[in-house]
Amino acid sequence: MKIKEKTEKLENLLKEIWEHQFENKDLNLSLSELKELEKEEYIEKVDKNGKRCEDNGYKHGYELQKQYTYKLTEKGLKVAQNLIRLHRLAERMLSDLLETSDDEVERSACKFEHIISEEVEEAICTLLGHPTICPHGKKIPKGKCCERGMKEIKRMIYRLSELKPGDVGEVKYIIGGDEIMKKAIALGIFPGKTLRVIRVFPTFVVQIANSQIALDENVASRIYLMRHEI
Amino acid sequence: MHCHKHHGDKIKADVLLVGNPNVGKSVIFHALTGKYATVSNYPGTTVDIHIGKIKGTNLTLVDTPGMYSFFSITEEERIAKKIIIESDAKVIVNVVEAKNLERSLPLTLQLIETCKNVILVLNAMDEAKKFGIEIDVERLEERLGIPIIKTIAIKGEGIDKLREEILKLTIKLTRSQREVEKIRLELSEDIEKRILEIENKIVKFNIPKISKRFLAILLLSGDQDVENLFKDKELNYEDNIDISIDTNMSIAYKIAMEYQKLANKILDGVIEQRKETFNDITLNPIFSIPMAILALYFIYFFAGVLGAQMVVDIFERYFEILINTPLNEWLKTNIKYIWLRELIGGEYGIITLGIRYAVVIVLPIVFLYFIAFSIIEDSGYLPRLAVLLNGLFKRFGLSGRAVIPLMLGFGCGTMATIVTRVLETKRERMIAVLLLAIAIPCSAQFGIILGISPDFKAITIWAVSIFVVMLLIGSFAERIIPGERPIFFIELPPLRYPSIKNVFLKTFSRMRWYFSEVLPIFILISILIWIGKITGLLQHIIKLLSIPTSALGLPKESAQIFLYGFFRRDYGSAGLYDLISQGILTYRQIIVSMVVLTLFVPCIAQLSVMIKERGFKFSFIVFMSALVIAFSIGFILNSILEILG
Repeated sequence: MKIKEKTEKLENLLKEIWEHQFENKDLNLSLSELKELEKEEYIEKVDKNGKRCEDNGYKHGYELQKQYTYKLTEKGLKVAQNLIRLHRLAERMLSDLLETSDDEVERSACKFEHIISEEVEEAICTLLGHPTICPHGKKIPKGKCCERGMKEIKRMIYRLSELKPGDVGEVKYIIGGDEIMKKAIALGIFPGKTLRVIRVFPTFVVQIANSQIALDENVASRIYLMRHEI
Repeated sequence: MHCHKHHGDKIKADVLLVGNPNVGKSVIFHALTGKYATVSNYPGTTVDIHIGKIKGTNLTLVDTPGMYSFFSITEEERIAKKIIIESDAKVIVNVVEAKNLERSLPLTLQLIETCKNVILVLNAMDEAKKFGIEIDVERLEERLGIPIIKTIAIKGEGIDKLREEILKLTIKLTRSQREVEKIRLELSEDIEKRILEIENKIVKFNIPKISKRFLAILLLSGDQDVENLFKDKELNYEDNIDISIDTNMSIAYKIAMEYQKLANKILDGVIEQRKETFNDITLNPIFSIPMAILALYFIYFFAGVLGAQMVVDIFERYFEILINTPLNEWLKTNIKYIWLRELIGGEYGIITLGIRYAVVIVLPIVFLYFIAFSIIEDSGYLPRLAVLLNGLFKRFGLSGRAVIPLMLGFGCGTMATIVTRVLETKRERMIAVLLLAIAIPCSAQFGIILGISPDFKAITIWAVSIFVVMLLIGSFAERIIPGERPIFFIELPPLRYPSIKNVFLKTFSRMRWYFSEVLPIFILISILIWIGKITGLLQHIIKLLSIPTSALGLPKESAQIFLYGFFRRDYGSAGLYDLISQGILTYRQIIVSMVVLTLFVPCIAQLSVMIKERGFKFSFIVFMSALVIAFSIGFILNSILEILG
């Protein structure tokens, strides 16, 4: 097995563990795969209280052995989290900017995550307006650039709440609960629709097609748009 | 406000009017039936259902509350949806604003899915023309397979054609005779697959006269009301609608999006827009604040100056000359029982007090208030006011939407308490009801307070005190009443010239409601006061009330007025009016009693509606708080005024 392929495989395993640990996804790894990750010190055995336990399960017999599970080590967590972030960022970029089909998004994102450097990662993240969820509605772990709120790179995706009167943009996605989704349905705010900002004070007022809609800042900050250059 | 009994019940209808809020549905309803329904520009005010017969036919027409979509469910939309699902109506008249066709067409498509006969009405064609929009109606008709009628409802254009089309569909022709093919709407593969699965599950049940496919789509979107239809039937469809389609995005949103996509495809080559217009000075803060002041002044002028001062004066004088004096003389000579004389005439009789207050003092003020309010409402200004006030209302835990019930509260708190239903969360409704009960004077009260105020300084002190109390109560309620902060999201209808006819019709229907509610109460109050006086009970309550009033430095006569104030707030104010015309109160006492009376407990009518809407416990707390707040603020104000001289 080539080295590159091997790391890629390990990385994919790591992502699964992460999703298991943080998003309650079922874990479908074989014992040998787990052992391999353990050998790299990416994961460790913990007992049901989350405390690390030494590999002495055999001494206490079969019963005890069943009670431990695997958890990411600090090192593993760092790597896994970054991978998840890259994957979801890639998805975001592919679906928002390149408008790739759903299948293709998944396939390409799986390749992207292994090759994006930190610099590129930050550029993409900034370009996309530091998105917080992927197109499937899952959380994107924050990167350093999100915390710094980096702005040097020219952005393309903005929250509606960041736009100024006169700005025009195309809706890319909306995040938020049922409430907001339902309102969005009612007023016809769907991906692909073009919005024009009319006012930002005292309340946001936007024009969609021939109707004007007023919305609060807490709603405006959940609508992500690609700003048109004027 | 008079049709609530229909909610939830099955409604008999032959034809349904369905459409977004403020598209002119009510005007069309009126034109078709000759019966009036409330028309308004503020999204969501038509909570009531209006039913009438189409002129010259035996067909029952039902105007459903405004709805945007089957998937976005406000209270009004739920009611509209239920009517559509449960009624036997064969025809749905879908009214859309021509200029918003693109946004409205998804709802039309969803209506077509019900398999009822849909007529699409493109209303406000003149407005669309102003936007430079052209619609190829023939092509659209062909693509949708349903008849389309162009109308300008306000001018009555196209209504006859619409009536003809309705008749054609209900009486003259059966569906099979119609030439056009109905459109087949296909959603994405994965959704279609699931719809089919659910359809197969429900096909064996004999339920509403509506397409199974439509019900399946609603079930798929997680619709609770449709699920309830199948409640007692053993339908375990849930294991089947494991919605792992591909996203965590709400399934309703995804379905809605697909209908929008279909709509866009259908409209391709059908609709053309040459220019884009938008400009709106009323949203500019520089203009909007003077506009708001102008609007408030407009209401003040109508209800306060014209109503409370001029018209009331004239009415009072004539009522006294034409009715009170001759009546009392007639009673003196013809009725020998004093108790009967006192019941009818005298100082507090049914006619001399009850009817006099209702007709002479309250009627002109409330009438003029409602006219002013209807003009502002129909001009499309209220949502703009909502935008302006959203920031302030946020401090109260309300959103700009609350402008409707609160503004109406300046007309009649009882009516406004019912109208708090347009607010979306329970928390907002609670806060609005609280503010209405304590801090917002109704128009009769407001008008009389303007009338009794000795000068502008007094009215300013009064207004500032009330406003401060409102701020305090609002921000306090915001803190202690649990719940989510409201989401503000509202459509701004274009500014329009209100139609005089609509303004009057609407005012009359509000007045009818007001009077059917107010007159019996005024009469009842006269009787209660009469009983109280005869039995001596009144004296005891007044004595009790005079403890706090004398603490405020008010004369003992005022206790009686506060008691009347509970029977109706305006009734109390009117009593105060009498007291002042007798010259009993000093300047300071007038200001203090104006404030205390405004803050004092809600009137008996408002209290009963409040109990109905929000429950006994909440109402009791509000009632007691009002009592405490009114007297403590009165005490504080009295002390301040005393110090300042």
